[in-house]
Amino acid sequence: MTLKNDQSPKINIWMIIKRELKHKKYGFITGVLSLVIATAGFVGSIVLLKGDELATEQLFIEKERELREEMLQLEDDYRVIMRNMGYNVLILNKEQSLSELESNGYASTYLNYEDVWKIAESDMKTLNHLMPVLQEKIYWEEMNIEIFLSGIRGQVPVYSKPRHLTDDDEYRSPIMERVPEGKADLGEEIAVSLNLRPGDIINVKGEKFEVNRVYARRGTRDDMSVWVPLDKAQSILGRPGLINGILALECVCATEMLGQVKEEVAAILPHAQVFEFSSLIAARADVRQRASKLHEEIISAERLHQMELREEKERLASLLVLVLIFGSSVWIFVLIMNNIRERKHEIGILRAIGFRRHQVLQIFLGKSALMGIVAGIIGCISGAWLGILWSGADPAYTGFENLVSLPVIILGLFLAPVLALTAGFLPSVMAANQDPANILSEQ
Amino acid sequence: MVLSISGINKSYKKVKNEAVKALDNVSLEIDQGELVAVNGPSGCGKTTLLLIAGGLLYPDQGEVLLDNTNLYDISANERDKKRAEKIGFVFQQFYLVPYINILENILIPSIGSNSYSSSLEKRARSLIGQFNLSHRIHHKPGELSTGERQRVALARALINEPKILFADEPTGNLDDDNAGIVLNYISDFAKEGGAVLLVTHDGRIGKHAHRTYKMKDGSFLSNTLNV
Ligand SMILES: Nc1ncnc2c1ncn2[C@@H]1O[C@H](COP(=O)(O)OP(=O)(O)OP(=O)(O)O)[C@@H](O)[C@H]1O
Ligand SMILES: [Mg+2]
Repeated sequence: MTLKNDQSPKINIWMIIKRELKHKKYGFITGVLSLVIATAGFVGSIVLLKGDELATEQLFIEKERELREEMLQLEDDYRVIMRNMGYNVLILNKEQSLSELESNGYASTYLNYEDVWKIAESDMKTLNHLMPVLQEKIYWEEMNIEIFLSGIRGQVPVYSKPRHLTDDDEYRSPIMERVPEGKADLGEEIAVSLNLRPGDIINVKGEKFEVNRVYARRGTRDDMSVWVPLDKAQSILGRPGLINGILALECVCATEMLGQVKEEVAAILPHAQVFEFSSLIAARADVRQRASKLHEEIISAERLHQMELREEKERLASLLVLVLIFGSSVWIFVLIMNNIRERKHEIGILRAIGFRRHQVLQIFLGKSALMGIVAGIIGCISGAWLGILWSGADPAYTGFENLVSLPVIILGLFLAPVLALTAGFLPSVMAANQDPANILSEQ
Repeated sequence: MVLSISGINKSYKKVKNEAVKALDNVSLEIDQGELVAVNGPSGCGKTTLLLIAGGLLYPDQGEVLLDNTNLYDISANERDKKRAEKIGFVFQQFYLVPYINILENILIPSIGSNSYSSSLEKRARSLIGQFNLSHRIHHKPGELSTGERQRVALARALINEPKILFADEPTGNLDDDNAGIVLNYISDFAKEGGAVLLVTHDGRIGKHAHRTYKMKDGSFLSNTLNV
C-alpha cells in the first residue's frame, strides 16, 4: 500500500468539472482565448477611443495655451510700437532727400494740405490716423531758443474706416490730440527750461498762444517742440496751404503686405514718397504674426484632421468590436457544436451512471461560466492595458477612471460569461433532458 | 417481486420510414435473489430490453414495475432517483469516465445518489481487491485492458448495493478465468439477495442462472428453468 492509495478521492461535482477541464485543457484554453479576444476587443477599443480622445484634447489644450501666450506677446509688441513711435508711416514730397531730412530734422519740401484729404477720401484701407504736419526748426526770438514748430490740425478722418470715428468724424482714440484754437502744446524740455505751465501765455513770432498742456518727456526731439494749430504754423512759417509731411499709422494688416502702402500712396499722390519708421519692428511683428497665424491654421487643420481621424477610428473600432464579438461567438459556437456529440455522449454516460439532470447541467454550465469568468477577467485587464498603450494616453494625467470606465468593465466582465453560457446552455439543456439511452444510441 | 416487466413493445424509427421492431410483447419477472439470463443472437433486442427494464429508455408499450413502482409512470426526476438508489447497470460499452481513475470511477454513482462516505470508499477498495484491480487503482480507464474495464464497470454497478443489477454482456470481453470470476461475483450478489438480469449471446452463461430466456427477433422463444 502506497501513501497515495490511502488518499480519499473527493467525489463531487467540482472534482468532475476540474478533472474534465484538465482533461480537455486544449479545448478550455481555446474557448477562453476566443472569449478573451472578444472581451479585450470590446474593452480595448472603447478604452482606445477614450484614451485617444483624452490625449488629443490634452494636446490641443497645450497648443492653444501656447498660442494664447504668443498672441498676448504679439499684442504687447504692438502696444510698445504704438507708444514709442506713435506713427509708423511718414509721407513726404518725392523730392525730399533723406540726408537733408536727417541733418535738418525736418523736411524742406512740401505737399499740399489737400493731399492728405485725397488719401483720406480714397478707399485706401492700409493707412489710418492720417495727420498732416507742417514742421520746421525755427529760432524763437522771444525766448531766445531753437525749437521745432509743428503745425497740426489733429487727425484727418479716414472715411473708409468709419469704425474708428465718432459721429463728428473725430477719432475715438486719436494718437495725438488736436491743439485747440489759440493754444499751444509744449515739449517737456522747453516747458522746463522756460518755466512754462499750462495757462501761461506765450508769443511765437507775433502770434499769441495759451499753453494748453506740457507733454511728458519722450527723449526725442518732441521734447524741443511747440505744437500749434496748423493754420497758425502756416502763417508763422509763411507756408500757406502747405504741409511738409503726413504722419500715418499703417494698419496691422498692412504689415503683411509690404510695399502695398507705397503702391497705393503713389497711385493717389504721384509726387509723394513713403517711409515706414517701424519697418524693423513691424517686420518682427509680422514674422510673429505670420507664425502665430500659421500656428493657428496648423492647430485648426490638426483639429480637423484629428476629428476625421477619430471618426475613422470610431468607425473602425465599432466595426472591429462587432467583428470580434461576432467572430468569437461564432468560434465559440463552432467549438461547442464540435464538442456537442462528444458532450452529448458524456452527458449520456453521466446520466446513465446515475447523475441527475441538474447535476449534469451544473457540470456543463459551470464549465462554461468558469471559462467566461476567467476570460472576462483576462480580457478586461488585457483590453484596458492594450487600449491605454495604443491610445498613448497617460492614466496618471487623465485619471484611470476616465480612461477605463466602470460600466465598460462591468459589461466586459459580463460579456464573456454571457457568450459562453448562451453558446453552452441550449445544447446542454437539450442533452440533459433526453433519455440517457437515446443520447447514447446517437453515437 | 423486485422487477416485473409485462407486454413491452419497442420499435426504433429508421430514417427510411421503416421501423425496426426491437421488442415484441416481452414479459418477465425477477424476484429477490434471482439471477435471470437472457440469451440470444446479436441484434435480437437484448440491450433494448435491458435499457427499458433499467429505466433508461421509454418503451412504446407495456410496463416496468420496479419494487411495484411503474418506472415510466413517474417523472424523469423520480425515475433518475430510483435508478440511482436501486439499480446497478453494466453497459455493453462500459461507459467509464475517461478523466478520472478507476477508484473514482467506481465511486462516481455516489454523486447521483448523494451517498458518498468513507465506508463507501472502503467498499470500493474491497471491490477493487476482489476484482483483481488493486494494482490499477489510480489508473485511468484508457490505461486498462478491456477485461479490466469490464470489471471496473461491474464494480461501479455494485457500489451502491442496488436491489437489482442489469448486466449487458458482462463476460463478453473476458477470458474463461476472468469470466468465471465475474460470474461468481454476480451470482454471489444474487445469493446475498440481489436480483440480476443478465443478457448475453454467450450460451455458457446458462449454468449460473436460475432461469434463462431464449430470445429471437425481439421476443422470448422459450423459458428454461435451470434450478
Ligand atoms: N438507437 C437505435 N436506433 C435504431 N435501431 C436500433 C437502435 N438500437 C438498436 N437498434 C436495432 O434494434 C435491434 C436490437 O438491438 P439491440 O442493441 O437491442 O440488440 P442486441 O441483442 O443487444 O445485440 P448485440 O448482441 O449485438 O448487442 C437491432 O436490430 C438494432 O439494429
Ligand atoms: Mg447489445
